[in-house]
Parts: sequence; C-alpha cells; structure tokens
Amino acid sequence: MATHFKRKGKRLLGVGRQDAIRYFFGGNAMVSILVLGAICGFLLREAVLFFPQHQRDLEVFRLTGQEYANFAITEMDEYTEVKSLANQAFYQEMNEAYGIQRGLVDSFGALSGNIYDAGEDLIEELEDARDEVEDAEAEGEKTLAQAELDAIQAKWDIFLRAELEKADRKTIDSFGRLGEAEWQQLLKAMVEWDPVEDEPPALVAAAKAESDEGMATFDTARTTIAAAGSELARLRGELIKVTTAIKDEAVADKSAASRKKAYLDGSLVAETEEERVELRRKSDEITVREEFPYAERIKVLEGSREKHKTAVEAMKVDLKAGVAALPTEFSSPEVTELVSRIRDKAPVLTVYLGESLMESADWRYDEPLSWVYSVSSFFFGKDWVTNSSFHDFYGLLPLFTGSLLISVIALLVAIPFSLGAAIYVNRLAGPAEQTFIKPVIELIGAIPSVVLGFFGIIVLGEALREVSQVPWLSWVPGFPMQERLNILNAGLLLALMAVPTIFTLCEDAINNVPASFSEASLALGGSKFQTVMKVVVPTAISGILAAILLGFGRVIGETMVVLLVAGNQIAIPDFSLGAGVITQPAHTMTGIIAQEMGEVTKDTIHYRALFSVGLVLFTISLLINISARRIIRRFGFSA
Amino acid sequence: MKTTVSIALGTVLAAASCFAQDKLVFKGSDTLGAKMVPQLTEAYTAAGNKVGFEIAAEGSSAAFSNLLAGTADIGMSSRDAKDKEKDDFTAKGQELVEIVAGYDMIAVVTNKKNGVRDLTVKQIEGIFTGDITDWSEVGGAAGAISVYTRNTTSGTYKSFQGMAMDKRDYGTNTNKMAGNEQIADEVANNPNGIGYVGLAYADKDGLRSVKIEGEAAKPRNKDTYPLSRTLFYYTVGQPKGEAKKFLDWATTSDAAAKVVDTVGFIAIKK
Repeated sequence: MATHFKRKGKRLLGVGRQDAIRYFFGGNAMVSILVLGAICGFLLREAVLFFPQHQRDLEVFRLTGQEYANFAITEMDEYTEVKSLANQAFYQEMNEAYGIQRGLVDSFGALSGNIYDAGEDLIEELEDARDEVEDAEAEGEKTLAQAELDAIQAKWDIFLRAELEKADRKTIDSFGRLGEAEWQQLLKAMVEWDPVEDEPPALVAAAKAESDEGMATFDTARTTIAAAGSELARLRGELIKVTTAIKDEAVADKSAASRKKAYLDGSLVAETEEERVELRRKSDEITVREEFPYAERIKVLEGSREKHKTAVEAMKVDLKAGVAALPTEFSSPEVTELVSRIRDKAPVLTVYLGESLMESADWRYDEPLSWVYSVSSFFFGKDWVTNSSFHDFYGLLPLFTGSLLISVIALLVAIPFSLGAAIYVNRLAGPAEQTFIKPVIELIGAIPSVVLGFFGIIVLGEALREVSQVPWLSWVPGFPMQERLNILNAGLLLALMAVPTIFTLCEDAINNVPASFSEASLALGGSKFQTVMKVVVPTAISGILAAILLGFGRVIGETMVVLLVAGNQIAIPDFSLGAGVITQPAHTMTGIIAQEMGEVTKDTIHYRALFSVGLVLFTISLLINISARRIIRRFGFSA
Repeated sequence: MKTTVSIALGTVLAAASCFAQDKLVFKGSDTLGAKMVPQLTEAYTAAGNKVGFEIAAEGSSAAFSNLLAGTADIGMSSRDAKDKEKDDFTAKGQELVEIVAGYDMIAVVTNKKNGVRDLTVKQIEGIFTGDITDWSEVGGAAGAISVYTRNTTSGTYKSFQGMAMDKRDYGTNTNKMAGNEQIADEVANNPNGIGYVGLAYADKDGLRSVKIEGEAAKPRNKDTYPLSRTLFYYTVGQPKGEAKKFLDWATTSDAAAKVVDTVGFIAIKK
C-alpha cells in the first residue's frame, strides 16, 4: 500500500506560505543587487564613452591649430612669472627707498578722492558758478555772478577745512608711510587745493618727481623686462582668435544638418506664408558639409612660425638686456631676494623658450593622435579647465591630488584620536565612562555633513586664520595662512566625520580579542598598559587596519564639506612650500562633480568627463572595500 | 468625530487648492535668482496674483540646460546665450526668446584694509588671469593676491571674462565660490583678497569697490563704467499665459522697477 505524501498547507500556484516568504526576502536581495549592477553599468558606459569623445576633441584641438596657439600661451605663462617678479621688486623697492614720497603722493590721491566724493554736488556748483562768471557779459550780471561765486567759494573753503579736520591718517595712509609731521605738512598744503583744477600741491608734485628720478634706472630695467613679452603677447592673442574662429566654425558645422532639418520641418508646419518663407530661407542658408575643410582653414597659420620665432628671439634679447640693467644694491633683504630670483629664473626661461620653439617648429596639424594619449591626458593632465573660451582641458591630476591630500590630512588627525579612544574605552576605562563615551562619539556621526561644512566656513576657518597669525607660531610652515578655506580646514572637518567610523570599528576589533589572551598576559606578570599595547592591539591589528581603510573610503567620498570648505582652486597645490602645502586651497573629485553637474547637457564631453571622474572615485572606494575585507580575512586570528 | 473629519477634509481641500495653482519654475543665474527675482515674485503675489513660484539659482548655464530639457518655464541669465546654446534649441525646432530684465554693474571689490583703490582694466585682466600675482605690482603693499571668482555655472563668470579679461581664461590660482554672497564674505575677511560681485552685493561691511580707470561703481555711472551688463530672462518660444503676465509686469510696471532699484540693480527706464 503506497502512501502518497501530500504537502501540508494551502498552496497558491504551487507556492506555499513558507516558500512565499523565502521568495519575498530573496527578491529584496535580488533587487538591491540588480540596482547596484544597473548603477555600475550606467557609470561604466558613460565613462567609457568619454575616451573616444575625448580623443576626437583632442584631434579637433590639433586640426584647428589651437594646439599650436597653446605653445604661445604656455611660453607667455612662463615669461609672466619673471615679469611679475620684476614688477614686485620694483614697487617694493620704491616703497622702501622713497616711502615718504610715495606716502605723500598716495595719501594725496586718497584724500582728494574722498573729498571729491563727499563734496561732489558742491564742486559741481563751484564749477557752474565759475562758468557763469566767465560767460557773463553785462556789468551787472558780472557782479552778480561774482558774488555768487564768492559765496560758493567760501562754502567750499569751510567744507574743505572740515573734511581735512575729519581726515584720519590711518585710513588715508593705509600703508603707514607718513609720520605725524609729514601728515600735518600734507594737510596744510591741501588747504590750497582747488578741486576743479585738480592739481596736486607743490609738496606732492616735488615728492613724485623725487621718487621718479631716484627709481629711474630700476624703472628702465623693469620696463625692458615688461616689454619683452609684448610681441609674443600680440601673437598669442592673434593665434587664439584665429584658431578659435576655426573651431567655432567646425562646431557649428556638426549641428548644421539637424538645424537645417529643424528649420525645414518648421517651414512645413508654418501657419502663415511669410513664416514659411522665412524658415525656408533660414534652412537654405545653412550648408551641410561632409567633412570640415581643415586643410584649407589651417592655411591662416602660414607665416606664424616665422612670427613666433622673431617674437621669441626678441623676448630673449630684451630679457637679457633688462636683467643685465637691474641695479645691484637694494634697500631691503626681501627685494634683494626677489631680484636674485629673477637672475636665477631668466636663464632657465631662455632655455625653456628655445625648447618650446623647437617643439612648435616640428608641430603638424594632421599628425594622428592615439587613444593612449587621450587616456593619459585625462589621468595625468595637469589642467582641468571647463567652460573656456579657448579650449576645455580635462585633466584629473589637480582634483586627484586635492582629494588625496585632504583625505591624508583627515586620516592623520583622525587615527590617533579614534584609535586612542577605542583602546581607552574598551580596555582602560571604568564602566561609567564606557557607557558615556561610546555613544557620545558615535553621536558625532549624526551631524549632517552640510552643517559641518557651514561650521567650517563660519567658525573654523576664521579661528585657524587667527591662530596662524600669532607671531610666535610663524615658524610653522605655511603660517600665517592667507586663505581660510583650504586643505587644512577641510581635513580637520573630515577627520571629525571619520572619527566615529574608525572608532566604532576599532572598538569592535579590540573587543573581539578573546579575554584569554589578556588574562594570560596579566597572569604572566604584565601590567595593564603592557597587555594592551603589546598583546591586545597587535592581535586586533587586522580589524584596526580595516577600520582605517573604511574611514579613508568614507573621507574620500565626502562631497558637501569639501565643496564648501576646501577653497575650490582647481590647480595642483604648490608643493614648493613643503609641509605648508596644506594651507593652500584645493579642489576635489567629489566637489567638481557637485559643482559642475548642474550645467552640463546630456552626452556632451563635459558630462562624460564628470562621469569618468565618478568612475575613478567608485573604483577607489571599491578597491578600499575589497582590501579591507581581504585584510580581515587574511590576518584574522582564531581563538 | 464629525469635527475631526471636517477639519481633515478642509485641510486636504486647502492643500489641494494650493497645488491646483499654476506654478512658474525659474532656473538659472545666482545674480538674478538670489535676491531680485524672489523679491519680484513676492511683490507680484502681494499685488494679488495667484501663482506659485519655484526659484532655483544655480548659475546662468543651468538656465539653458534646464530650458532645453523642459524643466524650467523661465530661465534667468546674467549673460547672453552662447551661439552653441542657441543652436541646440534650433536643432530641436524650438526658439530661444530673450527678454531684458534689467541692468547690472559688476563691481570689483577688495578688502577695506587694502590700500589699492584704483585699477585699470589691463591690471584687472592681469590679476584674474594670473599674470599679476602680488599686490605690490599694482601699487599696494607686498602680499600674494587671493583671487575669488564664481564657478563655471555662473553667467557673471562668463560676462566678466568677456568684459574685463579680453576673453582670456581665468588663472589656475583662482578660488571658485558658489555665489555673490560667498565672494563678498571671503574678500571682506581676507586683507589680500579681490573678487567681483554684482552691484547689489558690493555694499557689505569691509568691502570697497575699486574705481576702474577713475569710474566708480555707482548707478549714475551706468553709461561710462566699463563693466556694465544686461540681465535677461529667457523662454522657449514667446511667453504665454502666466509666464507672459509675470514677465510683462516685471519689465514694465513701476512697482517692479522699484523693487529692482531697491535690490541694487538698475531697472529698465521707460
């Protein structure tokens, strides 16, 4: 007798209640995995499509001749550093050697400017009254007008005296060059000042003449150096204009077909006859070309190689002459240092100019571009410039270094605090402290990041700058800080955000060390501190490392805080300051995505570039998470 | 029980009527969208018009991308539409219509403690392109110049580039801030700072607007100040319905002109 086994319970389509529950939870898990897969796929597609588009963009950069113009641009940028130093040295020297004279000239300018603004209406009246007196012909009119004028002149004198009384030396002479005696001299001289003629008093004119005469040699040297770049600057402007015009034409060409079609379609559904004619005309105006005639357009650049050569040679000559004509004696060590920097930089610049000239002589507009170049110029490009009138550069390096520096600072600050707190709370603290400290630290994680960013701008930035300006701290590299939104500020706030994460995980890791280990150590005569530092922590090291890595992952992906507080300067920070580089502002990968996402249109190269940056971020986080898991598994211990 | 039900019903109906109202979505320039347009919409509602407003000020470029995508009714921009942006609309068979909203002057501001009061356009170009890096080069005390600019979504960013920098690119050492108020804040707190803001933001404590070649940034210098610019509203096709009513009111009525002048911009003179 066979017994058929029947399944118990109600079934709907073969699925019982237990099965239904199982499928439901399984389905939830599946959905999460599918969504993750969809996001990854989308990210990957957009990012991967970026590179061919970037390659085409770089090809256009070359074909339109813009790459050639870029030679002139970079040469001018290098030269401008030297010119800038020369100007700085000149003005500083002038202010040192002829401080009082410059003080008189500048203070007169400021004082007269303020008085002019304050008494504008009165001055207008004065001017009108004077004109009246001149224009008056009849005798009676003349006397009347003269009386008017005298009245207004008297009013002006009273006003002027009142203003000069009010004048505050510290506000007018903001550089503090004048002593009390000179200030009084200036005020006395200004009583005679006439606002309509607006001539400086004799005192001021003499001072100006003195300073001009004294600085004459330095001035000629400086103007020679400054003029060295004028020809190249002209060439640069011309090249930019010409090549950008070619590029604009090429870009308009791309949309020509769709525009022509749009106008044609519009004319077919037009309501009035004249609309139809108008749209038809616009459609006919647009010519659709198969290929853009780059070879023809590039002919405009013919002859620019010659001009480039002459411009660079002229620059070299003027530079040499200008640097040779620089005086050798200066009034202050700062100026002497600046001038020695000029003397060091000038020959380096000359060599660079020669090399750049040779490179540009070899440049060809139709040289093919490999995809390797497209990839490497994204990952190792030093410029991220978007929305440019010339050319958009998509280089990751400035953003990557910004993100990395901020994360490293954040970790360096967060690790000692969180690890120390974890060790203390788990091993060394009493029960009352344990129940208090742990939740409080974890509460820090509840602060929204945008609130922290706000705190960083308003409170922390200002506080840091005040601290950095304390005189006995000036030995610290990077102090006094110029910017209050910089890497240090962002790093400190991110450290605050990372502490709860690292603390919780470290504490768990230390907790997981079996009691038998520490008991054995204590039994062998070790002190509590020795037990903790030599037995417990080394045992828990894998968990601690994993915690640090996860903290790093959290910090590198943080957007809001860095967007508000890191200063947003898209350039590789200046490492020549050594450790002081952390007081520089920087931009981050997360920040740039948040900042520029609002303006990009779908499927443009900028849009895809931002996704590529996102892909780099995602890859970094993924690698961090995988390595954290690996470390736990590999170096974990068994009790 | 009955009172609770009727109260609940009443709230739902009131809420529903709010949603049933027409809504105008403004997207674009921070210069227009931070103070001027919100105040205009308030005055418009106070004048008895029942329209809801949604204003998102992310930068002038956002106006065009949102109008193209259909997520905005009216775009606010502190710059002209670029040719490429106009082409994008034509390629979709749509027309981008430009309406003048008012005039503005871009004031170049420095810290009150800075001794430099007057700059030429060439010097401003040098500072913002990174050619000039130290205050001593333009007549001030030695100190590295901290340059604060808007970011690439901003129309002011682009307008300034065209008007004061001879279309050259910004230097890499410039700090990109999100809005006028942030620039004003940073410059007011940094003695070596320089930045540019719309006229409405130049009166902050601690700021001084430099004279550009002798011209101060004051409304009476509208025609001679080198950095004056026009502010625009953009719509897709000629404005219709509620949008047309609002735009007509905002550009022609006296009440609107008063609001614009109070905020610090220059209204269209009729």
